[in-house]
Amino acid sequence: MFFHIVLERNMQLHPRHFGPHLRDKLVSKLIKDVEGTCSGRHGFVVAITGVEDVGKGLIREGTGFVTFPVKYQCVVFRPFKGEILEAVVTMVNKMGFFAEAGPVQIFVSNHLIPDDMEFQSGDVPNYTTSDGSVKIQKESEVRLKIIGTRVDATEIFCIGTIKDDFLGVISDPGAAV
Amino acid sequence: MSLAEVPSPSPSSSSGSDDFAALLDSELELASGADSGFPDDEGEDDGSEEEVEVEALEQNSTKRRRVEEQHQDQGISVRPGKIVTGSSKNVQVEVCPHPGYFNGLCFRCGKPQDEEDVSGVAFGYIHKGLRLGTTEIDRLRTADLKNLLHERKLVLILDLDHTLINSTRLQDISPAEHDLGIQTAATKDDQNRSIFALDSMHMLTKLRPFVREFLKEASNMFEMYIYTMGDKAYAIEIAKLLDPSNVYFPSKVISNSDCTQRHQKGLDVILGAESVAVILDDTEYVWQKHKENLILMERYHYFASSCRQFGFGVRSLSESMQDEREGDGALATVLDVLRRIHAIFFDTAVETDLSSRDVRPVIKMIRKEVLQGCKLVFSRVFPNTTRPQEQMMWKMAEHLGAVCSTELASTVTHVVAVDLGTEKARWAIDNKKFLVHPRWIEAANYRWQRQPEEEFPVSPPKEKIIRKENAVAAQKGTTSKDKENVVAVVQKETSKDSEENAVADQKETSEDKEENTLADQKETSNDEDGDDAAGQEDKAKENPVVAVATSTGSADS
Amino acid sequence: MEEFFWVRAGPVAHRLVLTSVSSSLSHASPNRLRRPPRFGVAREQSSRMSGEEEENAAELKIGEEFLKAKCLMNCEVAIILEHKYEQIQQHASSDSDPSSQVSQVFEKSLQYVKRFSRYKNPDAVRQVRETLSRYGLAEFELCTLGNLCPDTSGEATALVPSLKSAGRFVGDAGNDKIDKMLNDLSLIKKFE
Repeated sequence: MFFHIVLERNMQLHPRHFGPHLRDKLVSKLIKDVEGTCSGRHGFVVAITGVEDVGKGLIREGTGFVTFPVKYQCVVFRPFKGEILEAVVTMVNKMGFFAEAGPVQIFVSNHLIPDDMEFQSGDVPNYTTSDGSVKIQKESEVRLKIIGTRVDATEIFCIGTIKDDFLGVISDPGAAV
Repeated sequence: MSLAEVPSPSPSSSSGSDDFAALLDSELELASGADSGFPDDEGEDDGSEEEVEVEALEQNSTKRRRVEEQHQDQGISVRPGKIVTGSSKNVQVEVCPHPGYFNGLCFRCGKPQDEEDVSGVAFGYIHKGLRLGTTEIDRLRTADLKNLLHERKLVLILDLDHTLINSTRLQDISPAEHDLGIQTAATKDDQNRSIFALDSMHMLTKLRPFVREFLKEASNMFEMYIYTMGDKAYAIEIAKLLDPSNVYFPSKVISNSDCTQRHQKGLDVILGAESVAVILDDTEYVWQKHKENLILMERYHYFASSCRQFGFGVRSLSESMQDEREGDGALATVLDVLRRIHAIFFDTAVETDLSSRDVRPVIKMIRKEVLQGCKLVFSRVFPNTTRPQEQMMWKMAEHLGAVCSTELASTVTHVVAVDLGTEKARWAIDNKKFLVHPRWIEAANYRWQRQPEEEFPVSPPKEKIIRKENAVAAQKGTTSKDKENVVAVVQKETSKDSEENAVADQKETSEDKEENTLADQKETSNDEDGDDAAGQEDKAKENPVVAVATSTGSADS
Repeated sequence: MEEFFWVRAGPVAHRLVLTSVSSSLSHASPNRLRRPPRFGVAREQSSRMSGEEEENAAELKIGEEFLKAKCLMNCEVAIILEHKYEQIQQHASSDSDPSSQVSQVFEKSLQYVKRFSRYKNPDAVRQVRETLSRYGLAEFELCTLGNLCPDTSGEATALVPSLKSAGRFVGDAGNDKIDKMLNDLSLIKKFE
């Protein structure tokens, strides 16, 4: 799920950047430092949307650097266990399929694919129901439920399932929608 | 519900970044208004909320139970012993056998991996962070086997270097190659070229003649994997050359980082059954556990550096502007063998169930046809002190279906010798038996066909200059960084015993003069008959591969 | 105060404004009631995993901080990110490609929300939020419904099981209310 939240960060800036554009400098440095990072608590910081407040700077003895507490608003993406979301299939193999929801990687193993869907190898590997009506292949859009998450230093991984009511393919790239 | 009146984002109302932030501020206000998450409940006492909570949980728990039962059922089929006894329906016992993990999360129950229990095999070549337990691997193999056989396919594992391609570092290009403009050829914009520059790796790669047709044909009969001791980046680059549209090897490129044992390749990282796996590789040593699945390939040496590395002093194919022939080169030959293996495996006349068939006896059987009906006697090919039955050439002949003997008899068809002067050689001439050089056996082994004997004559004895060359070759081999190459060279050049010594500790053991030569890397001057024979063999084996390659490929220059 | 900064101030140190107590303690007790740890194995697992098991979006257990935070539907994120991307484009048009100025996370997120937005028109997006806000939904529920657009009350409650909590949609009347809500949504889509 995407959230719009306020975070705070202490930014250090060298006095040579001081001047009428101090705030711009802080903001651009903030964007550079923070956007694209991820943490277990907040998930991915997707975009900074605004700076609420820049606090008073404190000079660091010795270095001359000044630390500013900056409050900023940002869009974060954080998947939750039990969350249902839509994702794009990136790879299908006999173990299951991999999908992406934005920056998050999700693996749906064949244990968590309905039993009536069987793996078909070939040029376009896929999972298909016996009557051929439903097919999951690369670029398919699926609705899945997250049952486990793990946050790495730079990535978030999830285990998903489509073995439940109202989960599964919402569009397959082969069919005309 | 005043909340409904709060404006939502609209891009038209903003321009500067701070304006935009203001726009979102309004949304944040809405967020803080919806404090509890249940606006309707505001003002009510805590008790009522809790009541509702319980109601909701009961509903959830019925659903959970259903899922749980399902899990248990599956658990029974996988690991019956794991079911927790006495579990009442109130107890939520998660019985997940944890079949495997994706970045540390069980991909069946979503729980994090127990840090102390890192079992199973990593399958990084399929997806980063993927790890499978042995039960799951077996399960996948079984399922895969069924599918494969249904498609009438087997599994084919392909080595890269010297099997499908030959590569050289740019810095190792010989002056002759440079003069012939080999680098220009590699960067030419020609669809049919077979030599490529891997700029990022500072290398040139030459595709073995016929490789494209080979892959196309083989892909109809096999699910194919690349399995190289090279590193991942290299393997992926080469896979792109061989398979530009990624149809042959999707998630099937295995490199050194995927090996579970140092310097060994194993079928353990392949999700195909051993019983249907055929391996093509030029190095036997790395397949210790799977020799029965292996078809040993004649090494493809195209570049000068490759010849040098393997101790061949002759001009390389690149330097002599030659190449293997497309039509009957190594890959075309082995494709025919693969076709036969496939045909025999799927022979409809055979009664046994497909799933219980095994490709290994098929390989063995086809190999045995090559020299069927030949009865060989070796004359001073092996050192006196060793048991001939343990010699590589003897074993090779037997694998090819020949009967080997130490005694002359009327039933003998071939005498294998390196010296015309031996008693047995003279006997062969007198009795109009074939007198052939050991290379005849090797050639049959690589070409899967009995070779015309007259092409492998035994030459009269010559001066023994060759020995020095071999010593140099061996030295080069053993100082090379690549252990695989060392082993390969020695394997080729010497008997098995000396191979081990040379590789293991390079210590001098006195069984064999040839071995001393290798180990000491100096010319010795033992001229007794037995050693003479061995020495001659050295000469003969000076360059079996290149000799074969050029002899079959000369028309293609 | 100063000392705090001498020690803590650094590129990594950042502090939360929306401070949160440990996640969703209020839900913990009913959860335990449901699973008395009777057997050794079960107890061991539940204690070791307790931190993990608390989180369950289906029961709105997403932690106090996120429960209070503003959720965004994909279509809203699309508007925000596209707007931001345009700004970057305007500023950077002279010197370089805007895609090189945003993180991969930004780019992947933008692709994602563009692909999975049910409503493209900003007015429609606003209406969706307005409409759903009338039904006393939690932010997380609202956005899940807005993203997934279920067709029936059955589907809606399967996807957002927490709808059936807090006495908001009880019994058949509750289902009718959900169906009404979904119908409102589909009308917005229809006239977009």
